[in-house]
Amino acid sequence: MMLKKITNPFLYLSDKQLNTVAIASIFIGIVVSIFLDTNFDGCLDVHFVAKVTLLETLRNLAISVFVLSIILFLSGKTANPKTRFLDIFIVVLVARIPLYIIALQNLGGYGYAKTLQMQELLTHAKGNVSNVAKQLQNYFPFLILTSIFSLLGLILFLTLLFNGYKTATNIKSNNHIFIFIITVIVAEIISKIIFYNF
Amino acid sequence: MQPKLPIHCPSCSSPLLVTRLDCVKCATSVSGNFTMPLLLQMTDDEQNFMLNFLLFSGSLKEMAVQMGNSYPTVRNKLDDLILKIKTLQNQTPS
Repeated sequence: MMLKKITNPFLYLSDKQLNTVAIASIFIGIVVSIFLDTNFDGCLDVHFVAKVTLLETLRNLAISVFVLSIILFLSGKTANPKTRFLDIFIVVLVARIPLYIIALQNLGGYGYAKTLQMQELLTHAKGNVSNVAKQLQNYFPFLILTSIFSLLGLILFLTLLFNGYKTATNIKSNNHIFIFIITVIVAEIISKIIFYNF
Repeated sequence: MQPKLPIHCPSCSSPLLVTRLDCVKCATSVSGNFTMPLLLQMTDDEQNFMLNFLLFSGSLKEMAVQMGNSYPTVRNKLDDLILKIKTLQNQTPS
């Protein structure tokens, strides 16, 4: 029951509670992005960087949230004309919270520093492959832990997004999973195009 | 305890028919094959939902607040109910 409430709060929480969580998600996103130097430059993206400005943070979050909301809304509206934009928008904001938890890996710039160290090792390898491979082995625990942590966060994000989308659109057909997957991929592509061009 | 009116056969789950009605005052019995009224073919939850819908003057927003659910959840319940009623109406011989 507890797991169900975590993975599908849209069924159990009232409108007021969901709105509160959604508004909190906006602030968490801004704080996490600035203080943990994390770029959310895409609907599904979490990147650790050297420094993020407030303006970049606001632009990135706005594009990520609005592109995903608009694309999911259009796909939901096609399937069920009663779908409301506000419901989808709240679903996107609530579902993004696990992405902000993933960013905790960059506490004190740890994630970014480790990534940079590995990049430097590979850049300066210059044919000395066996030595580099030995040195990279030291990073395996970090790589395994971050992979598991990130994967769990991503799975929770997509589960929340899917359950919220299902509730907001009331789609019951068997092919709604495919519609959802295609919609998210389209949203990611469009958000990336916007990020690279503007 | 108020006994629950069974609407489906406990053996094969088919819809039940009313075949006899008794007058509690004079003990007159009426026999025949009477289809259950549409509202009685709904589950307790569905009947309660419809009752609340009337009591809240059809305001789904107020119902959502009262039920502690989100607006889309309540709207989905209503949509499912409408679909069920339409299906039952189509099944019922006119």
